[in-house]
Amino acid sequence: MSTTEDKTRKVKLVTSDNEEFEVDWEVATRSVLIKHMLEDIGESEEQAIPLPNVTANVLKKVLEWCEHHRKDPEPAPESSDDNRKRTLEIGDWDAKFIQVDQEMLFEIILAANYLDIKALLDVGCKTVANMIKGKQPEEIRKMFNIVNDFTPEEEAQIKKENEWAEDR
Amino acid sequence: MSFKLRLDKAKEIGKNAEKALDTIIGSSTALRNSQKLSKTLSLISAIENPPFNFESLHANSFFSECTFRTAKASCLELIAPLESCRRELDIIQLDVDDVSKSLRDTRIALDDIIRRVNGQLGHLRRAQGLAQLPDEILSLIFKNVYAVFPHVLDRKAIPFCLASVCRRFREVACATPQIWNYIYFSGASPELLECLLLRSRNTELEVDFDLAGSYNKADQECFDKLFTLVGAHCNRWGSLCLNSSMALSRKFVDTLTQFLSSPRTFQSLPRLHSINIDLTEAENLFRVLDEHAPNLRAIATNAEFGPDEFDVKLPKSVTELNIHDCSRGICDIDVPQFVAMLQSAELQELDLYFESDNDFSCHYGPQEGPGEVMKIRFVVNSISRFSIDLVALGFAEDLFDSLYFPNLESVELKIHEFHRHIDCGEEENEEDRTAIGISERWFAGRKFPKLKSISLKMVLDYDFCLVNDVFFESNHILKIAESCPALESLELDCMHLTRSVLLPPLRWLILSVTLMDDWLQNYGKYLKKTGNLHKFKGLVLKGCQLSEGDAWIKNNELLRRLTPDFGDKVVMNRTVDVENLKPLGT
Repeated sequence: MSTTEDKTRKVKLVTSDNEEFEVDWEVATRSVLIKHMLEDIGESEEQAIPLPNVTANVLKKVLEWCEHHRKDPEPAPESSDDNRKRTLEIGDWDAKFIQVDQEMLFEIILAANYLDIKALLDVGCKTVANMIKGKQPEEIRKMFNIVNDFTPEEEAQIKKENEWAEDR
Repeated sequence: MSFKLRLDKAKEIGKNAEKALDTIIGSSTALRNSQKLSKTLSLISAIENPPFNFESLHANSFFSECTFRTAKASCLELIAPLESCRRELDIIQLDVDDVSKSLRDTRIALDDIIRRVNGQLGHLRRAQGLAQLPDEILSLIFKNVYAVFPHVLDRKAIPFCLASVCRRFREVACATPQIWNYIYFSGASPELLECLLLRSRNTELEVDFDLAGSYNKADQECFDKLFTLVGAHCNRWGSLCLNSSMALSRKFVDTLTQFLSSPRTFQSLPRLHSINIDLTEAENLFRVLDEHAPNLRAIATNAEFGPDEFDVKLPKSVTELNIHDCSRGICDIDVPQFVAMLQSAELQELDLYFESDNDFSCHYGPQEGPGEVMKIRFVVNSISRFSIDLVALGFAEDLFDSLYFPNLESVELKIHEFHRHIDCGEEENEEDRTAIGISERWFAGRKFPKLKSISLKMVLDYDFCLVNDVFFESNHILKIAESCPALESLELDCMHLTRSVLLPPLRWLILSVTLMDDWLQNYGKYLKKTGNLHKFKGLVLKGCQLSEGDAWIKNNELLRRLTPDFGDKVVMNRTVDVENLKPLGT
């Protein structure tokens, strides 16, 4: 539970390329990782939080998301095999926010995963899912620059499986 | 050694020093120009090891004036080049400092370049595509891709498609059981079912038996084969959907009932939460499910509204019921029987959809005349969410009069108003009612103390609207609100023209209407004047337009017009989760 004092507190974050960001506690703690680190270091305002897996340009983007969603409630824990409530809908703001090139998209996903920001990770994954949606394997390979590395035996097995799927 | 010899030697040393300084200057210049480290070492060596010994001068003694003068003159002669040398050294020192600074700068620049190149290398590695993401993220993406396909063809094909991209994708796909859980059967090969059942591991299964197009294939042998394979995993069934012809449906339900209740193969369905099945002959199945499916919550069914159709008891655990009318032609709703079915479980959510082409009537039992039964209200206390889609006919009035769910928290009324006499050139049908009149009927003379959310959708005959202006009743919502003291959210989606509409204070207002005057702005002013604007959470505009002379004001211009009265509480075209009273995506 955050206190009023927490909400006015500033947090320093240092990226892998040694850039320092000073942000509001409420914004920084959208990241569960940072929240836990802040709990560990206690009240020390001067101590910067090192983020060795995030570069400045990516953190800037992540913090933009955190700033916009600073008042959002904590996401509810999701059942591991509950597909029923999943949708690919992304809010208007998030959809605009995530309109970046593939490189930045994957950086954001990796950063969200590292920083443990589930809602942002969800936005990133849904965006990639939308890109995959409705495409054939060859189209997916082309879109993401993936090499078909199957052996002829594996290709034969895949062909058989796809025939089952089409046949039923 | 004589003094002269010593002096000559000193002069020689001085000349050597001059040469050494020349060498230093040359080396430094070369260092400055070439910036090579070897030259720097030469320079340092030259400075640390001067090629002459000044001690030879201090060791001499002077015996005469002449000798002294000569020595003094010689020393003075030597001082000048030495002073010059010192100045040169100072200059060289500056050069060396410049060179050092230059080296430091170069080092910093190199470090920066190395960091950038490493960063770029990392980017290049990741930019190869999805394959560089960690397995758990790739798996999450696959689950997203799979779960959002509503169409059967996509859902059954997508896991195989993902597993056909590359080895990494295949490994991750096969290790993601949630994407293999859709068990679709229409007489498929056993290999496929085995593959799906294996790869889905212990995940909850969505079992979909589509036998609608397989009249010849779906014999008893087919069912036996199916239950042998899929039935062995029935403890994993999460949802069960049956799509078949009526005859096959009965046969299937019988086989399923036998399978579940057989003492030899006693089975339970601990994870089954929803079924989609024809209601026909379902009584025995429901009885079995009541016993073996303790977590069954939702039943969706196609049903013919005819005699004895609802003479069944729902499994007691069911809280959601969705009935889609599939009657053909005339259908008679046996209201007491229908209500008895609703009351057989603690239903919380009820969705009813009636086909618009059918002719309906409400039936109240053989002994009761219509005059008397109109006054009867069948109360179902447990229902908190109700949704109905029907045509504005006399039967709708009868149905609305008969059913009363006093503990409703949310209601959605979708009413279609047709003007059949126009289409077929007949006299006006006595059965025809207005959508507004029918919706009012649901609330008239009743109290819904917990009702917070109303969604009112009224569809008018398009051809009729082209030649007639149909207006929304200005105080219709106020009348409804008299029955709903806790009302917070209103969604109004209608083809009527709206003018001078009056609304009670709300928290959410979602509109899809045509505005013929400034009633909406006036509502904002009213909220402000009565001190209710701070409680108002949002006005959501979904395809609204405002008439202004011959012009239509839409989108951003409409937003601009409403902003003075509603501030930043107006949003455009958002999906709103009315139940949670919170706009999605904000």
